[in-house]
Amino acid sequence: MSKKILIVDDDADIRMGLDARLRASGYDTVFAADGADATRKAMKERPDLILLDLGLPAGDGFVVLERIRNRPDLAAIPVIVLSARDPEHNEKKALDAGARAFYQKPVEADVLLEGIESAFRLHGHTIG
Amino acid sequence: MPETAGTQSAEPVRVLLVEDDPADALITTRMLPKSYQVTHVDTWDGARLEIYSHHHDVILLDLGLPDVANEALLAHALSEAQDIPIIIMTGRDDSELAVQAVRLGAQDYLVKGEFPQDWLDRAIRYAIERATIHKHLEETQRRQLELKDEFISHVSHELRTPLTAIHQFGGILRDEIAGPLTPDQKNYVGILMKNVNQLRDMIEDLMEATRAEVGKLVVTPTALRVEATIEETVGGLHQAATEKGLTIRTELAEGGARVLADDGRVRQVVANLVTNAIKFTPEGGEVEVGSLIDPEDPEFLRVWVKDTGRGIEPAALERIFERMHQEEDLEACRKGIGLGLYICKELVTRHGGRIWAQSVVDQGSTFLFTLPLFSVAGLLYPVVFPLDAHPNETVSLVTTRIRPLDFNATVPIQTALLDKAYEIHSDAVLRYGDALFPRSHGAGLSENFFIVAATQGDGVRSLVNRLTRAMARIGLDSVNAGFEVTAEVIEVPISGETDPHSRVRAVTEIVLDATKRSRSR
Repeated sequence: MSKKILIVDDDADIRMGLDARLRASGYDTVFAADGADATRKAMKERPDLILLDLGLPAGDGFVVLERIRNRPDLAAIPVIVLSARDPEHNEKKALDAGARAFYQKPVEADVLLEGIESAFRLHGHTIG
Repeated sequence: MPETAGTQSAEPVRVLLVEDDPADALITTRMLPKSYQVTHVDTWDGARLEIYSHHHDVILLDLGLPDVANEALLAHALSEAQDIPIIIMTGRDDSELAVQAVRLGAQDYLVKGEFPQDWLDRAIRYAIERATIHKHLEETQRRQLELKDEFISHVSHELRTPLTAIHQFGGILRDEIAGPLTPDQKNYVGILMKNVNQLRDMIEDLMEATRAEVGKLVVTPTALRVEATIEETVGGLHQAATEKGLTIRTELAEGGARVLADDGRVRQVVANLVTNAIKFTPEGGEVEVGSLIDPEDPEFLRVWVKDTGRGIEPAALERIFERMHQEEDLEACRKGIGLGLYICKELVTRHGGRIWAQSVVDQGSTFLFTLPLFSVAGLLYPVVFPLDAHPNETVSLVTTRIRPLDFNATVPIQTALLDKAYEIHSDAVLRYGDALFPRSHGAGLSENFFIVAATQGDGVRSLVNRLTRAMARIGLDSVNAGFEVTAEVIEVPISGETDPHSRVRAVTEIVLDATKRSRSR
């Protein structure tokens, strides 16, 4: 069964681009456009991984990260932060908040896909 | 008008009079308005104590004091008086020195016995006023730079969003996810992607240059095998060189010199210089990247990037590392905003190295920079010979090894996580007596940290415990990677006791051996 990825971004074009790219690599996709929606969708859809933007309406990416980490049923879902923000100020903060990786937009597609696959490999390792 | 400490508030003006001649001191004090609060000291040592313990609005300084040489006094005074304005009180015979003093940063000078009574009061008020204005000006400039930094950071973030969409869909077309392309379409999308990436690099350069300006460029040096770094960076640019019909080769120092440098920053500098070399060298040319121990200073490694391009005019050679400098070649300079070399210079300087260029027009250019070599013996010296204590008979080597949990992982452990781990280590070691090795950037995926601690017995145990707990707290034992902290006690050979250097050298060899062993495990 193919893995399901929740794409959280308030920019419709970027959601669409990520969708095309991920589906071409065999992933299923679901979407959220703001912070509140992200938590809702995470609970409802139980994705295998979350691609999270930081600058979001209704609770920014850090708030979403915290909410997810504080819910035992969601805490194990790997989160990759994908943001236009400066890595110098945000990468460490995101990792401290429990994200698995931080990539600054625009990121090369092969780098992002490798990051996603690596997250799945590590995730499988921890559970198994 | 900005508010000043003395002239407009009810507080009395506080004067620190530094004068070793009691008669001169008395005359000067009498010339001051009664409302002024005067503290008189007759040595520079006394003045220093006053500056650090009480607030003063102005310093009246006689340049001839018993405890400091005349020439050195002003330098001391200017650096230690912080923001307090200084008025030089001088004799008739050394007015030359006083003029010099004003040039160096003193507010004013008065020749003793040669000015009307009210001049002194006026000089003091003006000096305080000028110093206050100067302080406000500096504050405003600093604030302006900060605003600029915030502005650039905001703009760069806003530009990145539409750029990301263009980048994404360009990539989707290029990779034929949306269907096959004709050869022409493929070519055009390639050009589109090349330009999008240039735009992305320009935004990044703009951010970096602004960071450099406000002193926020972060450089985290590690003990780095720089040849591998250079080799990889050049490897990544092979295709660009080949596409332009250039050959590119490396001529690196043998033996794998280790420098104290930030891996990412060195990559940035080398990539920038090599990209420039490729850009300015015509088809059939050659780019050479090399390194050797600096012939002018054996404590540095010298790296060079040499091309057979069109060269740089001598006049331009001096200005080439300035901000916004561009070579006057329309086709070539369209590809940058003239910040690359400025950033390179900032980065190299931040490492303690220097950067310069040599060129002959129509024959080519060579860009050279230096990086400090990493020395284990230098780090170990204070451990074996602690300050104000007997030499240590043993040294404890505490090693933390970090490795990815997934041995098949092709993605290295997140740099930020390793930075965090390094931070934990630097918090845990003692400032005097322990030596924390810079992060060792090992080959492959396992990263090692080495600490040498002079603390004996229980001290080392507790250090290991503290490290283990702190590392587990950042999730290093489960999320991305595992870690292991071990302690090993090394006997310091006492055969060379009379010679501290040979003793340190012997310990260095043992430690290096031990680190090699733990690395190959």
